[in-house]
Amino acid sequence: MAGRTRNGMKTLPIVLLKNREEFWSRAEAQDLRWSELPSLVVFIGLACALYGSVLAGWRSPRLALYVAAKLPLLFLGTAAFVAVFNWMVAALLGSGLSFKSTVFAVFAAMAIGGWILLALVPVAFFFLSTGLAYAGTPAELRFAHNSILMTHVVLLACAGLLGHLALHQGLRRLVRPRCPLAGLFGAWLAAFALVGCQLSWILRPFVGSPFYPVVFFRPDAFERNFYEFVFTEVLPFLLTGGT
Amino acid sequence: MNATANPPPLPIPAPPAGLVAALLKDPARIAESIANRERPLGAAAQWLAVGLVCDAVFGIAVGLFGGWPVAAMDAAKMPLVGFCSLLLCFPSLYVFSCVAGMPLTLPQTCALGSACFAMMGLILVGLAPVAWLFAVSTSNLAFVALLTLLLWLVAIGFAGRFVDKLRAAPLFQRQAGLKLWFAILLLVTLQMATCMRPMLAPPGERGWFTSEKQFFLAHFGHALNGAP
Repeated sequence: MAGRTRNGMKTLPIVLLKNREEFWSRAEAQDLRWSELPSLVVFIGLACALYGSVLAGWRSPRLALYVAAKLPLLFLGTAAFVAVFNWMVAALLGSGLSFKSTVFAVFAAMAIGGWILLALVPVAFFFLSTGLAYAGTPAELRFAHNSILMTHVVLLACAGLLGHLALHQGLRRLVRPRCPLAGLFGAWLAAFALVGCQLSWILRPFVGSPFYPVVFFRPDAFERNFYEFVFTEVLPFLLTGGT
Repeated sequence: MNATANPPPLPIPAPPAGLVAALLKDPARIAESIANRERPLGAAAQWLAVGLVCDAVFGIAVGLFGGWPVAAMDAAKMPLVGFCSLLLCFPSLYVFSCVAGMPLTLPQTCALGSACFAMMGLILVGLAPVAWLFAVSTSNLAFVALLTLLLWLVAIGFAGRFVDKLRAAPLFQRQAGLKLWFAILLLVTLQMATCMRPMLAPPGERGWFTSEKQFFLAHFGHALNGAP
C-alpha cells in the first residue's frame, strides 16, 4: 500500500511527530504491522535513556548510566505489564479495538512523550548545570535534591500530559461510537499509574539522594511497595505537619 | 454626465505595514507569512534584532535602579537572558508545535520563536517607562525585583496571546499544549536570569557574572528578601 511504502518501519516515530493523523488513520484501517513496533520501542528506549542520563547526571556519572538503563525499563516495562489488561478493558467496554491496536495506541502515546522528553533534554541539562551545587551543607544538598526532583516532576508531567492528550485524541477516532471513551481512557490511565508507580519504586533511585550511596537498586527494593510508603510515611507526615 | 462615467476615487491603500508593525497590528499577516514560508529566516532575523534591541532598552530602564554601571550591564544581559532562553527552548518549541498539530518546518519554527521574542520585547519596551519610573524612585531591591518579574510575566502573557491570534491561518488552528511551552520558557528565563546574576546590584569584584550555582527559587527568594 502507498502508506506502507511512504512510511516504512523506520519512520513511524517521525510520522507520529509530523503527521499524527496519518498514524491514526492507519491504525483505524488496521494497516499497522507488528514489524513496525520495534521502531517505536527503540525510539522510546533511546529518548528515555538520553533523558535518564541527564536526570541523574547531577549525582554521579555512574548513576546517570544506571538511570539511562532504568528509565526505558520503567516506561516500556509498565506498558508491557498493562498491555493485556488494556486490551481486556477495551474489549469489555465494546471499543472494537484489537490487541494490536491497543498496543500501538499505548506505544504511540509513549513515543510522543518520548519526543517531549527529547525536546526537554537541553532545558533539564541547563537547570542541572547551572542551578545545583554538588557540595554543601546537608540543608543545601537537601534543597538541591528537592529542587531537581521538582524540576523533573514538572518536565515529566509535561511529557505525560501531552502524550496522553494525543492518546485521547487517537482513541476518539479508533473506538466504536458507543464505547465510553472516558471510562476506557480512565481505566488505562489508572492501570498505567498503578503499575508505573510500583515499578518506579522497585527501580529507584532515579534522581539520587545525596545522602545515600549510588546503587542500581536500593537494598529494600522488594521489601515494601510504593503505596505502603505513601500511606504509612508520606500521608501521616503531611497530616501531622511533619511533627 | 452620469455616475458611471465619474466613479468616486478609490481610497488610497495604506502602505503595507512592516513585519514589526504587523506583530502588534496584524497577527493574521504574520501567520500567513510563516505559513506560506515567505522568507522565514529573513523575517526571523528581523524579529530577533527587534527583540534584542527592545530587551536592551528594557534592561537600561530597570538597571538604572543601581545607576549607570548597572544599566550598562543590564543593556547587555537582558537581551542575553531572552535570547539564550529562546535558544534553549527552541527544540521544545519545534516538538511542542508538531505535537499540538502544527507541523512546522525548522525555519518556520525559527520564525515563530523569533516573532514571540520580538513580541515580548515590544511589550517590555512599552513598559520600560514604568520600569524606569519605579527603578529610579525607590531603593527597595525586593520591590524592583518583583516589578521586573511581573513585567516579564506580562510580556510572556502577551506573547502567548499573540500565538493564540495566529489561528487566523489554518496551519496554526491546533495549539493544544502550546501554552505549556510558554510555562517552560518562563522557568528557563528565570533560571537564565539567576545564572546571569547580578542583574540589579552593581557588578562585584569578579566582574559581571558569578560562577556560584544557584536554583532560581533560592535566588528570587533572596532577592525578594532584599539581598542583592
